[in-house]
Amino acid sequence: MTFLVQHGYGKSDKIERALDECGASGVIYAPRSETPDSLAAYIDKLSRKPRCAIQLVDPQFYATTVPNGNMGKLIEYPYFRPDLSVRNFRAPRDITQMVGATLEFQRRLAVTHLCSPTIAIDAFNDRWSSIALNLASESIGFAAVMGDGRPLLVSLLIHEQALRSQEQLEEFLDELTDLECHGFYIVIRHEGGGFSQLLDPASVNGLLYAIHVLSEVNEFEVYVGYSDFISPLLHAAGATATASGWNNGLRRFSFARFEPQAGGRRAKPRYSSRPLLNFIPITPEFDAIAALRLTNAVISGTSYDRGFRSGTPSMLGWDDTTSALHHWQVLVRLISDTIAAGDTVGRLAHIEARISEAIELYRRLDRARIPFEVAAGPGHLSAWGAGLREFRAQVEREG
Amino acid sequence: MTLPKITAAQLGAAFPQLENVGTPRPGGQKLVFPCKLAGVKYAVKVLRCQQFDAAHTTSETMPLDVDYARAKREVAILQACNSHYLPKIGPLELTEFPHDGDRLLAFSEEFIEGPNLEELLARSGPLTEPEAIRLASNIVTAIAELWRLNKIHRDIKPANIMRRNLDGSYVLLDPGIAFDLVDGTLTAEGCIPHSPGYIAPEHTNPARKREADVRADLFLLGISLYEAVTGTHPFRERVNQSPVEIIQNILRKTPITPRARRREVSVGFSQLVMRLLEKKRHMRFRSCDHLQEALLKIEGASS
Repeated sequence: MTFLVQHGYGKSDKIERALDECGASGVIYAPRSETPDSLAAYIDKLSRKPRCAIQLVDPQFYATTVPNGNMGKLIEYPYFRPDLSVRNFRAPRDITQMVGATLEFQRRLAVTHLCSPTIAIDAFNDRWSSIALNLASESIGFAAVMGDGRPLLVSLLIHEQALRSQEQLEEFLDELTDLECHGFYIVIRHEGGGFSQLLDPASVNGLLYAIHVLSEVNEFEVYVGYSDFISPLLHAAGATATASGWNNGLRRFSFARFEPQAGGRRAKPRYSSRPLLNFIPITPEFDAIAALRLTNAVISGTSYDRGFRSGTPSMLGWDDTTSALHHWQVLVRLISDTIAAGDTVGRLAHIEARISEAIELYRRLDRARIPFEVAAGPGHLSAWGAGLREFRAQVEREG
Repeated sequence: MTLPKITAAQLGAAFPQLENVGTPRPGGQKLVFPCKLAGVKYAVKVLRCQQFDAAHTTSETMPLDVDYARAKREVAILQACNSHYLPKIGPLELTEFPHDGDRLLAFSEEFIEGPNLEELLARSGPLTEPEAIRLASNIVTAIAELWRLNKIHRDIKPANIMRRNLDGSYVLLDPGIAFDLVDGTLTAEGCIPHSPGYIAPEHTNPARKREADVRADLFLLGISLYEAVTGTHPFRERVNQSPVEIIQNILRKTPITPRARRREVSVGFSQLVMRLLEKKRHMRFRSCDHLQEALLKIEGASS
């Protein structure tokens, strides 16, 4: 079981504390949020921490196709070129140059894994999908010549809608499983900047199937970034590692934060509930739950949340750092419980039961007239459950 | 294409350097003659070239001589390969010669003494599991060697797998219809050549022929292994079933597991064969190395 911190802007000491206190095993870095020098120095520093077993840089090369994007520090990186369009990917020598610069940069870092550059895939049959495969193949070839020795992860940024077409996904998997790399770093792209755990059932099924085929069937390592509360499902399907960060932008990926008008409101204080497989806003939702003495039903039982058992949540001074550390500890426990359920069939049965329990708990809270904002509600659970059942049936059919 | 009409004596007369030319046996579209060259035993393969009416063709309309090109390819592949599990090319190079109004081709290969898998099964019934594992390991080494050269065999079947009497090893014969992923000219017309009953699902669609990879050969190896341990073809339900029906089965039907047909087959080996027979490429083994590892595990578990 491996859970990684998804790095971003404003790390303070959160990553180190996640490694020391929460059971995180490493970090996935975002160059956009750090200058090249400070990124290198920080990776070097963490490489001396025994608990930091995995460090990799998501090159975020995919941001290049966001027109006039807000690239942050990414433009300071020697491999990054903004505003590229499809014509820039036609010539093989250009692909080679992009790949070479990206991998050469990582070669100088104390990372444990190298990560290939990629561009966003909207559908598995579009031209970007072919370009992504070219970047992957070229990266494998370049890494072999480079002779670095560290494992190469082929990165993929896939639109959630692309996962809905089983036929196209299967053909894409035929291609991916022919690549001679160590593993994959997969990010699922969602539309818009709004935060929720929602992913439609067909996409859940597609994502689980892709992870299962790559990891369990074909023995690749599969790292899934920005995965947040859906992480236990992904581990049930065979993911090697999942990741989540300290704010919404690091828990669910969209291009919104790369767009020119990016920025937004600070999220309201929130509590991550292990039984609900979702967050609860401290006010008014958790205060209402506490007032009805239902706290024990939703509490996660981590080392950070003892005060919630007796106090009024909004009075506890629940700050962002504690909230983030608590969130990671919750995810690590959810993942550990899933892994402990044994083989794929056992793990899927375990997580299906957890989803059913969460749905039932939401019903109970609804009967108690606890109001939930949409993103904090149960909408995602039925979609996850349906996707999971579909996937489980498929795995059982395959024997 | 019909087999060439030539006797051992006639071949000896055409190539005086050949000694002790023996009775030929048919091998696909070729006649295979045992003989000696400078005292060493070899197999000389003879096949017919396509015949074109020179009076009615010009250099622009002259069709590709597919048979000549395939023979040339087979020789080139075998020359480039270095594996104990593929035949070695002999000293008689690919030579075209006229015979009785025909244009024939001849070339020599290492003489492999022993039965092919088809004959073995007819004579002694299904192989034991350890013997089938040996066969699988030898043939997958040959497939890997072809793949190293970016080629897939495409005609793996019991008749093309021979057991050497000398050391009991298995040899993969006849890469004549091997598909070169760089040069697809031999199948440019859209037809994917194959022996009836021996075709990977992805090869049934000519439009996608260039998407194939080594996993197509692993599927064919799966069919041969299935036959090796059960004595039956996984997708042939009755004698004289039409090739079209067998292709439909290859595309749509999941065969009965080898273990369900024969209890002596271990669960692990049965699962391995079924995985090779998966319709989707991504559900098979992704490389020859991964298959070899799985075979070692099964071997280790049974010893």
